Amino acid sequence: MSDPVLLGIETSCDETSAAILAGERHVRSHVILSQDEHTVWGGVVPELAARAHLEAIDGVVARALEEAGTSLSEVDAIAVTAGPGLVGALLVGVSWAKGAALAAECELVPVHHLEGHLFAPVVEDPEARPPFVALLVSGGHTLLLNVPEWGRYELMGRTRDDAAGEAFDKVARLLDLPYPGGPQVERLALEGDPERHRFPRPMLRPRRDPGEPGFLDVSFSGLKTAVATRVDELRQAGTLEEERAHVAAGFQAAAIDVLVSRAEQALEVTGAPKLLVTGGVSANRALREEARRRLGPEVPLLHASIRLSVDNAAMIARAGLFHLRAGRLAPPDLTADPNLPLPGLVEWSGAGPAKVPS
Amino acid sequence: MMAASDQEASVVLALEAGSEFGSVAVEVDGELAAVLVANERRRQAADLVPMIRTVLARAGVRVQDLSEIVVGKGPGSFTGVRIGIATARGLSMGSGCPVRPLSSILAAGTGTGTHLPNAVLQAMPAGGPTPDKVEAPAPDRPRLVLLDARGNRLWMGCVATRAGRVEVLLEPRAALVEDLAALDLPEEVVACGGGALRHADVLRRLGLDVAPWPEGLPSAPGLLALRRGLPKGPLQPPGSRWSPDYLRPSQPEREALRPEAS
Repeated sequence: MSDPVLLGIETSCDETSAAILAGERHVRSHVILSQDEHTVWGGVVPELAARAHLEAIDGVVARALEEAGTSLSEVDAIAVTAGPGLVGALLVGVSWAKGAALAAECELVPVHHLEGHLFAPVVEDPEARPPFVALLVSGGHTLLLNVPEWGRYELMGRTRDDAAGEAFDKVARLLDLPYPGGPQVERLALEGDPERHRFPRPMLRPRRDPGEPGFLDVSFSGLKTAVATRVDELRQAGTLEEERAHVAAGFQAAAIDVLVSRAEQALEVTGAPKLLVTGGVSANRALREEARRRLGPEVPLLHASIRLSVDNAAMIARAGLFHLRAGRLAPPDLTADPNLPLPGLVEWSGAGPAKVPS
Repeated sequence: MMAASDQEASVVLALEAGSEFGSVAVEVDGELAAVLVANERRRQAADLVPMIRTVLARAGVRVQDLSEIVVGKGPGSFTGVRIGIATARGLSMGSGCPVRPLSSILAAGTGTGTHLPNAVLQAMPAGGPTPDKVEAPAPDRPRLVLLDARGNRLWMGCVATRAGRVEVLLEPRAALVEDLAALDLPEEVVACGGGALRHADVLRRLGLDVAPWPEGLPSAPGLLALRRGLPKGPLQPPGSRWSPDYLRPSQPEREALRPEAS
């Protein structure tokens, strides 16, 4: 099976996605259906997400197969997100994939959602392979990893509280911006002055020695509180409306400063030659531009296109290919695990298996 | 819509995952060939496909031999119902075999509890009072199936099975315990299911008998009995779009619909 064809399926949150991947980079089709059921609720509602996935999954897969000009009988393996994520949403994808793999007599490969994000850039760029430092930033996770090779993920830092994307969403709500908040904050920040409201950069300096677990951890709760306090002050002063863009710009600058500073520190102590930025928040153009500016021309910045930065099935198929080639297939009793540990995750210090990222 | 004659529908796989115990059954040429019921609660996601493999092997058939997949479309556990339907749809797209979604609660009223194993028999819903009779009620007594939807909420449906033919006396619906008093059903009706056991005292006050567990548990053999006994529902081709019978909005929708005063 030198150049297998994989069907990737992703249903961990509020995107129903299917992709046909031939070999390492030939994305023959890629369908992403973003659920709009959640906008009115101001955030993802798990039960509604699960219901919407069930409504959509057949059509999404059928379209992916049709656009690729293939059928399930020609698929060598199905790679499906098994966790982490919303359990009801994950179960739709996992159950569908188990049934389809049984009927089509093909292999089934469970994929960790975050590992999918690590593989997203290499779908488009053959240079986006280890060794690198990975800054994985999404709505649910913020991780800093040293990746010497595929399948070995050395944890250097994580968020102590809110994920980066969560902080963007919470600030969006403070500023009365609709869901999803991250892109709205980014858009509004374009109109603001990031220096007008200068917010704290929590934990910018490492408080521990390199080698100690969590020495590059980050925190966003203090930053969020500072923004909330400033918004209250501006509202009481009656100037919030005219200051909203400046607040958004100030928050975004502080959050990006924390993330990029941590990535720089990780590159420095590991000597890794490249930085890979991935996850939904990596679609933020200001983050990419700031990282590129501060890394300079010597350190390549790797990232996926915007389409492959959001939750998608092509990255799941690509990570699934890695595990398929290694013979790591789904057990018969595969189920979804909302807290699935990242396979191959160890503390960077070599202190042993890391705890599950929160 | 695909048409299916009885001659074509010679190998039928049935899946029920919306109840506490998932179950799988295969019928070959109208005869029940193999049945498997999970012996642990709420293991549908992990165990349903291995159970399908086992049941197909016991029946001596392959997925490719299937002419129809019957699946319980609810009501029941939202997550469990989705696991069953998603598995059936994956099987359908992988094999080309059509799916026939049938009501889980009407299937539970067909009196097929005798196929269920000891683990299920011993797992009578906790807190429920002792049933009125140890023996199952006569097969031709109409069943008012009441499934527990937590709190004072129920799903209900009523069927009568006579000589293999199933008549629907009450279409599946969501209800409150308080609604039971207003039901207009034949006198010989017997209540069954986890919701009936939980609210047996109310039912007795209303003059209704309560059948012993596991009468009224939605199951794959029940789906096959319903398929045989009712004018068949629509057969869904692979990839077609149809919805489960949730019969209840999601929690945030319910909260949003709740009057402000309450």
